[in-house]
Amino acid sequence: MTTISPKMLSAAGRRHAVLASRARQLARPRTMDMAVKTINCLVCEAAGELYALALLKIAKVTPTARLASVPASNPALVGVTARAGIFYHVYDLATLFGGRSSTDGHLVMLRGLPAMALRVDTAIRVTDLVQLDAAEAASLRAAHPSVAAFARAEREDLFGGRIISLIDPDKLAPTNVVGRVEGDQA
Amino acid sequence: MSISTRLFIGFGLVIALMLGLGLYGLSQVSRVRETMDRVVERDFAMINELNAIFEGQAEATSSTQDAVRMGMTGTAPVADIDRAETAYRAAIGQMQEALRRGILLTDEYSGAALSAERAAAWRRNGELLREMDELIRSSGPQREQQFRAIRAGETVSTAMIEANMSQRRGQFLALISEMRQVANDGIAAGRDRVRAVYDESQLSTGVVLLAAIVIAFVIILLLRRSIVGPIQSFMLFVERVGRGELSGASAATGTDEVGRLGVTLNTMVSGLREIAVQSREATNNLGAAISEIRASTQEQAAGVEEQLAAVQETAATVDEITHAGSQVSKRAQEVIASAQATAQTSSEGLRAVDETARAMDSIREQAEVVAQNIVALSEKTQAIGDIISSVNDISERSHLLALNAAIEAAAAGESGRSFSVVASEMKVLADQAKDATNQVRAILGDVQRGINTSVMLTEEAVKRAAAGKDRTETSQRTIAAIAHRFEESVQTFQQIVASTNQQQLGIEQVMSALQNIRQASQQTAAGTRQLNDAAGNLSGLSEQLLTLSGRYRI
Repeated sequence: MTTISPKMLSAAGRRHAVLASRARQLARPRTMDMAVKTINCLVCEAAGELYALALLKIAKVTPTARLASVPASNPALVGVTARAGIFYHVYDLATLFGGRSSTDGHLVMLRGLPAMALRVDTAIRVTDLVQLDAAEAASLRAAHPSVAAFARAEREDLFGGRIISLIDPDKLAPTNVVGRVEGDQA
Repeated sequence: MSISTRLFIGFGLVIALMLGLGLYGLSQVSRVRETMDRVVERDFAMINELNAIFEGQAEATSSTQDAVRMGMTGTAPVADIDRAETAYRAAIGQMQEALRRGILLTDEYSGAALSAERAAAWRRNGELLREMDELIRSSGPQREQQFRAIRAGETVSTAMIEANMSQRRGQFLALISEMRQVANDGIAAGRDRVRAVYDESQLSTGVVLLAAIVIAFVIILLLRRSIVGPIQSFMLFVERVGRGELSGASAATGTDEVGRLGVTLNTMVSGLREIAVQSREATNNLGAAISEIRASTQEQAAGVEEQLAAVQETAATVDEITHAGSQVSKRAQEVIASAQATAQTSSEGLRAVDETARAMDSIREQAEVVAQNIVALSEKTQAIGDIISSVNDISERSHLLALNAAIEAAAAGESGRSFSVVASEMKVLADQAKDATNQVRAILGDVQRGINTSVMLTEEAVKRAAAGKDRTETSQRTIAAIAHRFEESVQTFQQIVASTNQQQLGIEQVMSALQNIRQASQQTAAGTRQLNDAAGNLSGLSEQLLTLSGRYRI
């Protein structure tokens, strides 16, 4: 199927294209998920690398607000912030993975306790990822224990076929952090 | 005795003779003059007395005539008779006085007469004067008687007495006539006497002159003999010297002038001897000098030939200069015309530059307006940037809203599937809006950069317009200076033309001078040839002079 860039269409054509794409997604049979296992994730970018978080693990995405600094030995803990009465420990994802941190970007607030948020450079988009098989992932090495698997966008036109590290938030928390409770709502 | 003394004495004697001769001649002339004066004086005195007697007789006669006439008619007044008688008596007295002086003069002159003839004449005159005196004395009583007769009215007696008086008057006039004749004879005798004295003086003067001449001739002969003798010996000496014999005997010497002349001649001969020696040496030197002169004249002739050739070349060069000068004048006039045209063009250029300056001002003003417009546009672009930032922020918020909607849809499970589609579309729209804002931002950046570039270019244009105006003003001043320079150039070229004309005049004078130089060179060449010939002749003369100098035997 040939994809027409929206820049090439007029307003009416673009509207028609959006409706057509929506119709195709709604008409997609769900049985196909059984054939190829996909994961609906939020793809983020930090220090030039692509990371993905399962969409069900994320509570909210916000712009990076002013953080209140906290005395801590973990350099990845860049501060705390509050939202809807809940304090979130904000960790810089690039620092966690050994990269260079940035001061702005997006905060990805995770579900569960303790309340934790990840500061990324950009929360790019929500898309379906296809996990790599074991043979393909054997040659790859995880930069952090929280990297549960490696995946690639289902749509080939996205991200240029780059490999995306799929993060497990439960393994992301540091050791002195209280264990998380799956399914907590922010 | 020296020659000067002898000459002094001789010429003194001659002068004394001439002086004596002159004095003698003067004395003779004085004698003649005295004789003549005496004759004239005596004759003149006698004639005066005779005239006085004659006048007295005439006065007496005239004074009595009227009285006698009236007496003969018997009507004579007494007063007239008295007046006539008084006049008659006065005339008779005057006449008798003259007779007395004449008698004295004749007596005096007869005793001291210059000659016998004149002595006889003076004596005869004395006799006649005495007869006249006697006749007058005898006539006196009759005349008184006649006056008495007239007073008495005796006419017959008066007439008779008058007849007797007329006879006596005739005798008186006869005596006067004879006396005049005697006086003329005396005058002729006096003239003869003067001539005789003159002849005697002439003769004596000639004799004295002849004697003086003879004496002077004798004196001159003596002087000649005393002077010429020694001079003859000196002439022989000089002739010997003239023959070139400078080694002979010396001339005689002495204390007088001739002796001193001998000394001088000896000195002269010794000097001539030295001169001959020196002349011989000088002649030899002259020969060498003449040889050098001939060589020099030949070189001078060659030099003159070269000078002529140089003058010809110079004339040709001057002719070329004249031609070049005319070309220069012609070209200068062309340049003047071109410079005048250029000056006119420069004035037009000045007007054009002035218009350009005004255009530059307009460009600068318009560029400033454009800059203000661009600044306003930049401000509006800044406002657009703010709007784009707002739109970008909205798109960012939409992006996050879409993400959160997708999260919420996923959390909703199957029921949120359609919502997830909406969230996905919102995400697409947010991304498109973000792309569009990025594109607008990029375009706006391009516009901003273009505006900045335009501002810079406009400022540069303003600066360049100002610089252009400055340069235009500079060009204006430069063109004005060029025009002024061209005017100066015109004046300069006019001066060049005038100078060239003066140069032409000067070159004509130079040509004339060269012509004169060429003529002078030709004359010099001719003179050099003549000088060469003269040097040749001089060489021959030098040889002759050498031969002549050999004549002197030293």
